[in-house]
Amino acid sequence: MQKENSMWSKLAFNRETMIKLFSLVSVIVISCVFCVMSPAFLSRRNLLNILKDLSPVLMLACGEAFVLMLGSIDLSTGCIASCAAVMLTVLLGKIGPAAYLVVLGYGVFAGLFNGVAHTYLQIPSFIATLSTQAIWQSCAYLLSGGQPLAMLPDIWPYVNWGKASFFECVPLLFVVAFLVLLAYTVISKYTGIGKTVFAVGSNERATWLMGQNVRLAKMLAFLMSGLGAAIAGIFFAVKLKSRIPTVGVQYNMLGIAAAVLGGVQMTGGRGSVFMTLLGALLITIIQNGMNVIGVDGLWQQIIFGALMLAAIFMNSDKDHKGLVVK
Amino acid sequence: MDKQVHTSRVGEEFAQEMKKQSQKERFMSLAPLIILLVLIVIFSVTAQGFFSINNFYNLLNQAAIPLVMSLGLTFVILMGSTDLSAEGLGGFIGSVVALMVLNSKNDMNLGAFAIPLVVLISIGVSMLSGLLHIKGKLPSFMVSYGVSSIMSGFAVLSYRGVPARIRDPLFTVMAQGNFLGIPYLTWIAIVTFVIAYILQNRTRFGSYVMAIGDNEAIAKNIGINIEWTKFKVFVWLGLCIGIVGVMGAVRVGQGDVGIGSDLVFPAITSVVVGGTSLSGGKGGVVHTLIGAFIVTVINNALVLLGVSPYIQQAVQGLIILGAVALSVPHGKNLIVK
Amino acid sequence: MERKLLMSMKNIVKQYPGTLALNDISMDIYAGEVLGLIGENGAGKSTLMKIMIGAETATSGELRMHGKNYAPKNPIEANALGVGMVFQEQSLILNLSVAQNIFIGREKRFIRHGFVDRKAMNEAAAKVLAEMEIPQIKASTRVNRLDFASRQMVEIAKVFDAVNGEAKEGSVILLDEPTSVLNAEEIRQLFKHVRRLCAAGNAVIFVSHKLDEVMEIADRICVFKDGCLVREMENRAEEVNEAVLYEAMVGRTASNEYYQLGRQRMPEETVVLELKNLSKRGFFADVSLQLHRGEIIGICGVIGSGKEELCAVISGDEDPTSGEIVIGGKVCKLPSPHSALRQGILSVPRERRAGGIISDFSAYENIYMSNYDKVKKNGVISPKLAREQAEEYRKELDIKLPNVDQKVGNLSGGNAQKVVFARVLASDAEVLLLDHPTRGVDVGAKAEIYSIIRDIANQGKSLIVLGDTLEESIGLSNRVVVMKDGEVTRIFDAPPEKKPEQVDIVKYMM
Repeated sequence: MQKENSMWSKLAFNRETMIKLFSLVSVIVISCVFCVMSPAFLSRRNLLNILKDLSPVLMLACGEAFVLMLGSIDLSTGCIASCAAVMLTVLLGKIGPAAYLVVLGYGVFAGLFNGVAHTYLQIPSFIATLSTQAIWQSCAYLLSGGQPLAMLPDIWPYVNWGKASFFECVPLLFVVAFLVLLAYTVISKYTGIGKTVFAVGSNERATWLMGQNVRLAKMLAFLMSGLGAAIAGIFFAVKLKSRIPTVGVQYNMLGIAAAVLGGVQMTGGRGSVFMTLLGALLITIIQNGMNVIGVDGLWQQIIFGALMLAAIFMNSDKDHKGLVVK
Repeated sequence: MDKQVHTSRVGEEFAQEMKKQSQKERFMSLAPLIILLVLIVIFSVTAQGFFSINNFYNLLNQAAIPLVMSLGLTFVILMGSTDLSAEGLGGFIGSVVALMVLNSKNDMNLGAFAIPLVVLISIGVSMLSGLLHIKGKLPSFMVSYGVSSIMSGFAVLSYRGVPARIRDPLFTVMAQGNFLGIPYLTWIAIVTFVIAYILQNRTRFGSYVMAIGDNEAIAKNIGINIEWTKFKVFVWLGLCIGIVGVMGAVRVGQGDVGIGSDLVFPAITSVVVGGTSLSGGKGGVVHTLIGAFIVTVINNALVLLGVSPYIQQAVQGLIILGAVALSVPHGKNLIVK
Repeated sequence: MERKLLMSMKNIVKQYPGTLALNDISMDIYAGEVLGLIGENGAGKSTLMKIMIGAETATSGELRMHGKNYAPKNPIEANALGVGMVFQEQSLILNLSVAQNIFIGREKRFIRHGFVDRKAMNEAAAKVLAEMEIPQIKASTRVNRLDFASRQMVEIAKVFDAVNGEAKEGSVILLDEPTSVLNAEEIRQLFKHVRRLCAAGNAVIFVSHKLDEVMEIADRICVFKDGCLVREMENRAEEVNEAVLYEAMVGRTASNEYYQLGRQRMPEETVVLELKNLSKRGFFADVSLQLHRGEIIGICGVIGSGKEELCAVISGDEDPTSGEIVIGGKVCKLPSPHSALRQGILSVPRERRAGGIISDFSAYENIYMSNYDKVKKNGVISPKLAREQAEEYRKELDIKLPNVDQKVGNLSGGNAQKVVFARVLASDAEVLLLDHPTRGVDVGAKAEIYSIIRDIANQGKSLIVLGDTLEESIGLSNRVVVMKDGEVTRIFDAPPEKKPEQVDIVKYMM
C-alpha cells in the first residue's frame, strides 16, 4: 500500500506535466495532420480564424480554472456566455457602447450569484451551477425572443473592432483575451486571495484554520468564472455579429475540458491558469481543423465528448485522499 | 462497587440538542407533501382551469415521462451519485427506435421487437458509463455528461438531419389509446413506479443502495458488494432511460434527438424536491413521486397562467436552488465542494 | 470456578509507517467477564480492537478464538467466528427499519422468490429484541425515528445476532465508548444488558474514557499507554480508584529541565483575552477565564471535558451559544478563524496533516499562509522575499530541510510542527492556542518545541495549551485550568518553584 501510494504520488507531481505534455504534443501532431490533409490549415487567414475562435474558449477556460482550483466546478459558464452575447446585442442598439460595461457587470453579478449559492447557502457547486445554467439560458431565450438574429447595421460600428488584426493573422480579439489571461494569471499567483484559492483546493480545512478567508476566496473564484464567461459572450457576439441564444451551450463543458487539458487538476489545488491557453488551443485546433477538412459538425460533438472523457481520465486522482468518488 | 453513574448538565443539554435535531428531520420529511398540497390550493385559486377533472387528467399524463425518468435517477441519487446522460442517451434511443420500426426513412420493420431491443441498447450504454465511474473511479456526473454528448452526436448522425416519422400502427395505438380510461403511456409510468417501489422496499438491492448512500464505509464493513450494487443501479437507470426514449418517440411521432432534451433537469428537480438527498441515503421512490407531481403541477400551472415557456427552465432552476439549500446541512466550518 | 478461555492474544505487534501502535500485547479473555479497556487517545486501544474485529491485521503475533487460530480478514468473518463490535459512531443505516438493520448483509434466509419476506424478517427481529428484553422497540420502525439509547440497543442486538447465531460457544462483544450519548437511566439499562450477556457465557470488552463507569461495570481492567499494556488488575474496591487508573494511563516522570522551568516567567498584569460565562450548549458551560500577556495557561481534562470545544470556539472554528469573548477590552464575535486571526488569535491544531499544513505546498509557502502581508512587495506576493524569510525561520527553529522549496507533506512530525510554529511566528498573532503541540513528535524535537514555546511567551505573547499529558500541561503553564463535564472545576497556580502534583489535579478531572 505504501509503495503504491508513493509511486502514484510521484506520478501525481508529474501528472500536471504529463497532461501539459500530452496537450502540447497533441497540438503539434494534430496541426501537422490537418496541415497535410489541407494546406489551407496553416494559411494566415486560417491562423486568424483559429485565434479568433480561441479567444472565447480561453476566457471560459481561465475563469473556470479558478473554480476548478477550489475543488469545485462551474457548469453555468456556457449559458452565462449565451446570455451575455444576447444582452450585448440587444443593449448596443439601446445604449451604445455602454452596453459593454453593463454586460461585464452582468458577468460579475452572475459569478457572485453562483458564489453566494455555493458559499453562503452551502449548495454543492455542481448542483448550484447546474441550476444557474438553466436560469441564465432561460434569460438568453427571453432576451432574444428565442430566435437567432443578425445584428442590425446601426450597431456595426460598435463591433467592428472584432475585425481588426495585426499582421493579418493576430486578431485584436486575441490580444484582448491574452491580456485578460495575463491579469487572471497574476491574480492567481501573486495575490493573497489567489493563493488562498489554491490552498482551499488543496486542503480546505487547513486553510480555514490557518486564518485565511476561505469564503472570500470562493466568491472570488466564482466571480472570475462569471466574468470570464461574460467576456466570452462578448467575443461570441462580436465575432458572429448576431445574437444566438444557444451559442454558449456546448461550451459549458468545453471550458472545463480546456482547463483540464491545460493541467488544472479537477480535485483542486494544482494547476496553472496560464496554461489553460494550451488546452484551449488544442480544442480550437481540433474544431477548426475539422471544419477545414469538412468533417460533419455531429462528429465534432462526438469527438469532443470523447476528448472530455479522455481528459477526465488522465486527470483522475488515483491516489485521492481517501475521498469516495461519487 | 456501587458508585452512582451520573450525567452532567452539559450531557443533558447534548441529549436535548440531539432530540431537537431529529424532530426537525421528521418535520422536513413531510415537507414535500405539504408543499404539493399548498401548491395545488394556490394554483386552484390563481390559475384558470387548473382545478378541473380534465386538467388533473392532463396532469397525470404529463407526469408520466418525467416520473419514469426520475425513478431511474432516484436510485442513482440515493446511492450518492448523479447522472446526466439521459439527454443524449434518451434522444439516441428515441431516434433509433423510430428507425427500427415502420418509418418514413428506411425499410426496417421490427415492430414490437424494436422496443426491448433499444431498451437493451440503453442498458448497455448505461452499463458502460457506470463501469467508467465504478472501475475508473471517475466522478459520475462528468462521465455521464461526456456520454450524453457522444450519444447526442450519434443520435443526430443516425437520422442525418431529417428525423424519421413513425408509421408503425403499434406506436399510434400507444400514443392515442387507453386502457380503463388511462392512456398506455401513463400505465407504463404506473407499472414502472410499482416495480421501483418493490425494488426499493422488498429487495436486498434496495437496502444496499440505501446503505451505500448513507455511509459507504459502513456498507463495506457490513460486507455489501458495493461495485456490484452500483452496477445494478446503472442497469436500472439504463432501463428507465430506454423506456423514456421509447415513450418520447411515441408521443412525438418521430425519432428526434429533442426527445432527450428536457429530461434530465425536471428529473433531478423531481428527485431533489421530493426529499431525496443529493448526498445519498435519504429519500426514495415515494418521495420522487411527490416531487414529480410538484414539478408537473408547477409546469402545468405556468402554462395555464400564460407564462413564457422559456421561463420554465429558470423556475425549475430556482426551485432546485431553494430545495437543496433547505435540505443540505449547514455549518460554518463544513466543507462543501 | 473454572473460567473458560474465549480469546487469547499473544505478542501482538502493530507497526504503521512511522508509528508503533501496539507493542507486544498479550491478553486473555474469559467467558462471563466484563473487561474494561482504558487509555488515552492514541494509546492503542482502538488499534487492538480493529485487529480483533478484522478491520486490520496485526504485523506479528498470534490470536486464538475458541482454541483455534483466529485471523479474520474483515468484520463479517469475525462475526462468523464469534466476535462482534459496536462501533463508537453508530453504524446503523438511518433510513432502514430496525429489522433491516439487524439483518443487513444476512438477508439470505428471508428470501422468497427473489424478494425479501419483510414479515418474516420483522418477526425474527422481534424475537431478537425480545431476547434482549427490549420488546418496546418495534421491528418495523425506521431507525431515524428512534432516540439514541434505542439506537444503541439496536446496534447491540444487531451485533449480538450476527455473532451469536453462529457461535454457541460464547462470543466476545466489543463496546467502543457506548455511553457517550446516553443519559443516566439509559446507561443503567445498558449495564443490565451487559451483565445479562456475560451471565449467558459471553465476554464483553468495555472501552471507555469514563473511568467511573468502567469501575462500575468491569470485572477486570486493562490499562493501555503508548501502545503497551501497562497494567492489568482485578476491579476490587481496595485496589482500584480513579487516581490509580489515571496515574497508570498518563503518569510519566521527567526532570524539571525537560520543561525548562528556569525560563518560566511571571506574566504581566494586562489581560489580553477574557472569557465571560462562555457556553456552548451540549459541550461546555459558563467558562470564565482571564489570559494575561506573557502567560501560558494549560487546560486539563479527560475527553468529554469540553476543553477541545472551548479552544475551537476561541479560535473561531465553532460558535458559542452564549457568553462573551473579550479581546483587548472589546467584546468580539469570531465567526471564523480568519476573523479570530484579525483579532490576533491563531491556533495550532491537533491534526497536523489535516489542519496545520498544506501538504502539497512548499515550506516557504506554508510559512506565509497566515500572513500574506509580510511577503508582499508593491502589493503582490514576492516569492523571493518569502523564501528569504522562510530561510530565516529555518535557521532560527532548526528545521531539517534541504531547502525551503521542499514540499512539507514528507516531513517528519517534529519538522512539520516546526514549520507550523514558523507560520505562527510569522503571523504576528498575540494569542496562540496549542492543541497537543508535541503529539507525534520525537523526543529531541519535543525539547526544541518547549523551547520555542518559552520563547514565544517571553516575547510577550500569550498561550493556551492543551497538553499531550497532564505532566506536560503542569510543566509548561503558569496556571492550570481543570475542566470536567464542560465546566471549570478548579484553577491551580503553577509557579516554577511550586508546581502542583498530578494527583491533586486529577481529583478535579474525574
